[in-house]
Amino acid sequence: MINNELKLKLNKKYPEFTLHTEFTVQKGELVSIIGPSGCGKSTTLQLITGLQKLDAGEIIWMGEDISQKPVHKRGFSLVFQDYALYPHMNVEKNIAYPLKLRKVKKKIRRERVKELLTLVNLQGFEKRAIEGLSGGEKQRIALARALAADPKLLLLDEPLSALDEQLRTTLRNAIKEIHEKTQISMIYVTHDQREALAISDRIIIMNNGGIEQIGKGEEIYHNPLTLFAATFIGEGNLIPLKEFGKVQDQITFSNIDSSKGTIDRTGEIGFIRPEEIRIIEDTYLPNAELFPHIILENAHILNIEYRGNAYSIKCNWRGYQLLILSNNKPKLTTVDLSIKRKSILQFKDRNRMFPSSQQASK
Amino acid sequence: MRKSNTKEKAPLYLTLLPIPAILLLLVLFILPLFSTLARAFFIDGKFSLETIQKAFTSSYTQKILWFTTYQALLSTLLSLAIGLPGAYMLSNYDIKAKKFILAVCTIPFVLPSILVVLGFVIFYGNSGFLNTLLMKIFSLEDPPLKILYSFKAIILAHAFFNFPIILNLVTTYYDNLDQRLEMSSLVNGATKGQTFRYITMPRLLPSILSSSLLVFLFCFTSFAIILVLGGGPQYTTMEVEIYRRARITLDLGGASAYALVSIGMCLIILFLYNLTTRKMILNEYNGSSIEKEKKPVSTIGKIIAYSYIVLVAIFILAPMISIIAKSFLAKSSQGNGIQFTLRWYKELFGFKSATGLMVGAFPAIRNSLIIALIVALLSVPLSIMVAIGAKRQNSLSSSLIELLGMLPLAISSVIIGLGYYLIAAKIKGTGFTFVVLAHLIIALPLVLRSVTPELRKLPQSLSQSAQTLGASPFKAFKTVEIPLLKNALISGAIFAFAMSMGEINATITLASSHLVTLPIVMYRLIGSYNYNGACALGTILIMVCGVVFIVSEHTKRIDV
Repeated sequence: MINNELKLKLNKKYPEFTLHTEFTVQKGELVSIIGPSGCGKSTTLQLITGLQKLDAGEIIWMGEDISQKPVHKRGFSLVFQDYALYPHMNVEKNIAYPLKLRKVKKKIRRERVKELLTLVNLQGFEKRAIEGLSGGEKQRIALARALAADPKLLLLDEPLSALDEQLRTTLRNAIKEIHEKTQISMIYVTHDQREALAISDRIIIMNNGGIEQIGKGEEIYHNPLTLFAATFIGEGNLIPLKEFGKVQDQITFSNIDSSKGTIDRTGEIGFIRPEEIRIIEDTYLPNAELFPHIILENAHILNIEYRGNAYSIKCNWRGYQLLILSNNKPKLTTVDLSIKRKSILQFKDRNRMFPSSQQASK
Repeated sequence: MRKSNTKEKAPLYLTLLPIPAILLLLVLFILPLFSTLARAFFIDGKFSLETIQKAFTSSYTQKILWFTTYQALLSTLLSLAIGLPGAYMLSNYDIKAKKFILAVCTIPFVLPSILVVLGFVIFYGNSGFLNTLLMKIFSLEDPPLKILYSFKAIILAHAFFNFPIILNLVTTYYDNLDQRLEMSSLVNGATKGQTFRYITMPRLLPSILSSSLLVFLFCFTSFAIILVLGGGPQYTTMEVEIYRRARITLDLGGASAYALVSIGMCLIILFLYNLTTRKMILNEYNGSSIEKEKKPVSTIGKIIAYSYIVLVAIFILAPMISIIAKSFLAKSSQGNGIQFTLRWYKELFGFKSATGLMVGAFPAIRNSLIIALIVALLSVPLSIMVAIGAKRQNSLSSSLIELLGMLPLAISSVIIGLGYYLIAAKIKGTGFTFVVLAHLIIALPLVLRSVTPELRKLPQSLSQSAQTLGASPFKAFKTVEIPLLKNALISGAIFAFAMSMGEINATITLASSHLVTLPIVMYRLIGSYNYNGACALGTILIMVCGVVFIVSEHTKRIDV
């Protein structure tokens, strides 16, 4: 039984960077590739489709290396960022194009186009010209056309990046629905972390032609393996670990193992999610923290924004600007901050380090 | 990521496809050039600089070179004088007739020079329409305007041909200048005149210079106009001299030496042209112009604007209308009156027994049609192959194609004709083939100018998506890219057809006297003062150009 439908080892040298990625896609999985522009995520798709040739490596599909197969024989569809619809064909002809290439009979072609238009929620669009379509409609048509080829694998290259916010949300839900209905394996390239978190089974974070981390969204958020992954997905605060040496560890209850959450002072940088920092306004009241934690004293609040579900608070502590998410609006301008020691993710050389007590994975 | 896509090596078919086309083009171009130059450097098979030295140092050459430069300079100045006010007007005022003016100004682009010559003779000639009209109005005995077969006629005809270039290029550039600079100048307290002088003019200058150099180049290598309108040895230019030496005095070495001088001069002009064009690009050219809603304010301004439009329309259209009119006219049998007749067309198509040169008119039309058809048909696949090479930027073929686009500016069609004439004489080939080849090489840059930008506009993703959907690269090219290029290819082929129909420079230099084409018969008819017959042929040529004009208006490609 081949569990991994697609197994990839891609190597390619470019003048700007070298691409080196290795990952697998399982049957029916929706994998997102996310990273800043120029990180090699679109290139990865081009290499998988064969539009660009590998320098070295392999593309194993169901146990067979297809890296030498020409593009049109791989049976992978690619949805382009600019839609790549053919302006000289109407909607029906665009969608029917892959069917026509496979010499499907006209009657069946017409039925299939109708089905696909229903799937992308554009019933009755058959005779429309491409020119008159909106961006969202174009992207749905492009999706329908890609599906018409009955692809073994559907690749989407930033399909929603040219659309406005609201449409992006609607369409990404549509893509998720189509994925659930068709069960076609998909690789979805985006630079929008929310998009990736919303729709994917697994996320691949790419940077500089390499992979930073692969995992489920929650996994990457709570347990980033590199500093890049930590800062790319979600928000966070960076404080050099040496700063923590100057603060006093506070342990409230003695029955809790004080070694939990030890700070390794050979590390360089501590990363803390904004919701992991608590604001203490009245220092005379006992701190209600059960776990080993540290206190950052005398932080100055610079700015408070109300986000609807929480307050986003910017404050300055020893010259470091920190972002805090809190349910309560602080009344004072100078406060203390309390952070659980285990919430301080520690990094050295941009990689996560795991002091004995911190678990490698959750 | 997108950047890296272009760095990717193209599929093999893209690499191989342009090679035969480029090779063919180089052969077509270099062969005649080489044979010309070889002739200039060798006497009886021995290398010698004597011919060159003679050509460069003789006072006769210097006289011709001086005249060529002088007439080109005056023609350019006159073109500027007519074109610049128009450019100023069109760019500054929201004139309803703007489209009309720009459309009329594209007419000279598609007109063969022999038609312009004929139109000038018919309209401005001593017994032409304009003089006849003036004589009638003012009851004069003698024609008041005696410009034909004189220096004035040459300059005027050149201006006719070239002021639209200046008008077009400067207007386009002017329209795209950032108007906010002018506004801020006005806000800062400058008058309109000061703003124009200190803010607009300096930025406009490169475009004026560059279009002037282009016009200068065209006038420098002008042939048919000087051949007919110059009329005497005192008005001979380099190109006419090349033709005269090659075909009349049979001094082939001399002709080749002159060709060398001409190419040298053209390269210098071209170098200057490139210099100014680069300056144009370096300038701000951000296209963020603000809508102009201005109209000529004063009555005088209005009168000036509209009389300019009317005069330009007359200047361009009258000679052409005269040709059509004259083709239906003949001296009446009673005496000195003029009457409507189809005689010239009947003679042309053999319904009536023709005399003199009109006998050859019908075969000439047939020849021209056949040649033009072959040229048009060959130019399409050739341009597709070359354009694919050009699409891949930073590649060898791409730069070769850029070069190819410029070469016809440096090597005039007379010189191409001369080159093929020398080859034809050596291998005793049929003139017909060489005429086709010469026309092909002259037409190809035109076709490429129509096809290459369209191909470059096509996003790579179209072909790529077709491939991911299961089309082989060739199939993707056939079903996606070719259909999208269809319009450009058709209009390119029509341009090639029309160019070939009206081509006289290379044809007359190269073809044996047995091979006649439509323009050559026209030339001979003009020479023997059978203007009506020439006009009947001219009308046919005008119709062909009319089709091209409509096509070019339709596809809106008015770039030079």
